[in-house]
Amino acid sequence: MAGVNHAVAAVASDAAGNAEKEEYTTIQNGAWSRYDRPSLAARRIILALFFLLVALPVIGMLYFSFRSTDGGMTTSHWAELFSSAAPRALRMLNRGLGNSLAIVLVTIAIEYVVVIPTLVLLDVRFPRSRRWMRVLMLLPIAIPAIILVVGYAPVFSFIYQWISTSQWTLAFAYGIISLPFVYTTIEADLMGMNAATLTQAAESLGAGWLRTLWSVLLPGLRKSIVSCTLITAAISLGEFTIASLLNRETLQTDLIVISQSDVYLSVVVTLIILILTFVALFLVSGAGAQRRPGHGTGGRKRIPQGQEAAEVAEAAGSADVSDESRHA
Amino acid sequence: MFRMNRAMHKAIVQKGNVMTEEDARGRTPQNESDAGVVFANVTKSYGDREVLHSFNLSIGQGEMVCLLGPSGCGKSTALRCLAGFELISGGDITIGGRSITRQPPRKRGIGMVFQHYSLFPTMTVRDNVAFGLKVSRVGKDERNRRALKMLERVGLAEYADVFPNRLSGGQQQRVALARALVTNPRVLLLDEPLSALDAKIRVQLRDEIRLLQQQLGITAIFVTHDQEEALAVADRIAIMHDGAIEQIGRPQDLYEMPATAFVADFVGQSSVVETVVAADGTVRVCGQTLPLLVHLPAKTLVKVFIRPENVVFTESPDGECTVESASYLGSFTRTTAVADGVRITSQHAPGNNIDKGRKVHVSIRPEPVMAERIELRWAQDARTVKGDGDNGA
Repeated sequence: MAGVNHAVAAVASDAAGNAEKEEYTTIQNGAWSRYDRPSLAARRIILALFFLLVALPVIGMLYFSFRSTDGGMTTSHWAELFSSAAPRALRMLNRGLGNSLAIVLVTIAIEYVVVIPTLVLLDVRFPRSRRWMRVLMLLPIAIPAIILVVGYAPVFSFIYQWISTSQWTLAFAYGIISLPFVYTTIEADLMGMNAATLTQAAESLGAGWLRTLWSVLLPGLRKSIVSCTLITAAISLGEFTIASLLNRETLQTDLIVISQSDVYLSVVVTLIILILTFVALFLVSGAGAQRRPGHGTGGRKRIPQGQEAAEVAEAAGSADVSDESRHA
Repeated sequence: MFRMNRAMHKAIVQKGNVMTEEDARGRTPQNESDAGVVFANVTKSYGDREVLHSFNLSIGQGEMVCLLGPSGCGKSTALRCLAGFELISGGDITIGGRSITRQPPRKRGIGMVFQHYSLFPTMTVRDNVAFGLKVSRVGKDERNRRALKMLERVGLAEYADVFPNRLSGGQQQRVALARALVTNPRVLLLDEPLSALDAKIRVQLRDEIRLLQQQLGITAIFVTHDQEEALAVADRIAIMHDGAIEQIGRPQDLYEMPATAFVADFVGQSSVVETVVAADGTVRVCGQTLPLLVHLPAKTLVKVFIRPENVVFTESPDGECTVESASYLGSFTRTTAVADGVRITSQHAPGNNIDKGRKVHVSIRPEPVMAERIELRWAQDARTVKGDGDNGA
């Protein structure tokens, strides 16, 4: 009897989903209670150490960018960047940045059109695929980039020949190496929102898979789609090994070239990119935080009445709109 | 009296089975509104493991049938086969006489309420309810009007513009119910809809579901592992065990005339007492002679199932049992007494309590009881049986 119970539970997809969801809620509820977490002082020290560790290289770079070759301090490296007679290196960097941005856009487009819908459908339709998908999705990280390139080389010679020789084709490679991060994010969110049950609910109400995907699953995945976009952009902008070995001209490869001729300029540019990235991150995560929670626990929450309720709904709706416009 | 009871019991048990098979074979579509559901020899296997074994069930138009059983008995699987979320391995399922076996879930005309967390989190309550209408291309004004009307029926109209995560569990299930019913489905499927709720809400909502189902006259299947829930709402209950229906019948019949020991044990509370069948086919428990619902040869070692409401304790210094525990349960009290290995429970009005440790005399109403043969494994047991048998006879 127990054997049958166990086996049925293991096989029935909804049961599996429930079990996993329970695990999810336990983790949430099992977060540190206020009584056994580290003291305030300890937390502050940990936080300070963390920030110091992160900030140290940046501070070092900043200091270095104001050093002059004779050992004194100078602002000439920064001035050079904004002078009207921009050096050749800077024009090169411009091109590299343009290429990189094109690659980012195409990678994100691939993500939205192909990767995310495929992963969602795979996860919802074939929940048992998770077992091998989790392993499969590790491969792009587990395999060193240098080995990936060996595999990519013939693929890209085909792409050059039949599709395009433009720089943006590198997006095909970056679409693959960002898969693990996209899969983990999307899968966790799908599980958290109980996607299997939502899909069945939509189906029982007459919805086909396209409508289910569009009106039920993707809206619930907004948060993780935002983080996927960020991660993908970060990977595509920061990737060096593959770009270099495939002889591409991206921001990273150009930075290396510049650093060989003018190391100060490369540091200044790196700093600017870092600052822009931080600003972008704060903007997007701020936009994400304003959103109403995606899925409730159904617990005892304050229930707005009448006018108030309408306001809440309206506020939530307008927040969504602003997110979308900002996002677009 | 005992013989008549047994015959009656047999007739009722058989009637349930015969009805099922007849309907499974001979049902033809009578009219459009007929939405009876028939499972005909449905099997479902995962790999080489069969979780439904030639499952037969016939549900009439407007009837509410509960699938009741312990977890893993296949009750949810049967429901999911009807919904189309699982493909059946053999047999046929029809709604209103038409086979739906090959149809995808969205074409089956079902409305389903899930255990929990099934509302679309990114839509307001109104949009959730209107979703099914939107899918079937009902105009915006029309679908909002109908959604609001259905929300009024479940008493949540004022929450129409709220997002589901602001609602309590019971409210969420009400919305789910409204969403399932607004499209006028032919069959309403309820997959343990109340099991995630507090006890009080559970009772309240289960009565509301039953009322709504009767008002709308919709065919419904209610899956639950809670026997009290099943007894309260169902027209008929199908007790499932190991992928098949053990017994199907009206709640009262199941309770009073269980066909098998499993049903007797699963439905309602019972004291299980080991005893031996006497020569005339009765058993003796605590000095009382009780008729059996099933025929078993004399001197068979059996477990009998005795309902607590049929047991009466009277306090007396020379009583054969000692009160072991008493639990006060509001409208009644359950007292358990023991005497040389026999543990028996009585359910009675809370007024006449008997304190722990007191001696009581047990009297059992001579209602026919269900018995199950105990398979012998050890020589030790055989010797015990012999001794008891002598006492009993």
